[in-house]
Amino acid sequence: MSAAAFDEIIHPYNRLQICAMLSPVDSLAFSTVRDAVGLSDSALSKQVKALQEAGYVTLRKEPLNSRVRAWIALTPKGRKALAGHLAQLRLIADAAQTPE
Amino acid sequence: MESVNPRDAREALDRAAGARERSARAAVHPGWYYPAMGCCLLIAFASVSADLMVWGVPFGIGIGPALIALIASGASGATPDRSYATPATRRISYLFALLVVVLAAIGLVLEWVADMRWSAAACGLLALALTVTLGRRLDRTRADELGGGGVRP
Repeated sequence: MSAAAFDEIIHPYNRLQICAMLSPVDSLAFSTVRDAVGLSDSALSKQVKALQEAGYVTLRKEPLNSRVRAWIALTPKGRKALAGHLAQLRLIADAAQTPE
Repeated sequence: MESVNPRDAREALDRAAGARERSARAAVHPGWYYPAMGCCLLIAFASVSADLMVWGVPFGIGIGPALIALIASGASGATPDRSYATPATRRISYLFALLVVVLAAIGLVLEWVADMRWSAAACGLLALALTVTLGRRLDRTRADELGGGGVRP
């Protein structure tokens, strides 16, 4: 179990969705994530780049017929950061329910 | 740390759980995936009976499954190959591997030692059935464990 730690990189709305989507799979096609999150190609690229720079995701490009298909995957560091961030959010949410 | 109030935290958790669940449920293999994988195993087993092991075994346990996995991930946009992602899926994967090895051993012994022609192919049919049954169970278990019950690290 990862230690609870708020992660500024993961927390923004779209990045949290992207990481959460990637967590139960090995990788997802760029187009699958784009359609699910509802972002444009360039907006998703920007979010993925921020996660890539933090070492949380990898972007792998594969040729598909005459085009290129990109696959996004969480790295072990990204999985750990996501788990820690969610644990921290859970602590914050649960604190409100704890009677004083 | 950015200021996050409990309500925002709860909303973020719910969004993450929703995204994770959608992804886990969408990332199941297509219906033809396990029958096709099973057919590859059947080819590998039957090639022993047909004296075509030289090409049958490499195709059945190497090239064929790799091609099928490639086509399936291209079609679904996901590579849901985390067969060892949870304790339950790990158990099913180990059980599958063990049973295939046992079937292969039985098939080879019957075919080569007891000289029972086509017994390896018959074991291949069992391996096909096993692949479909346990494969689909693996998908269901993975979807339930990773997608259901909220977000777990």
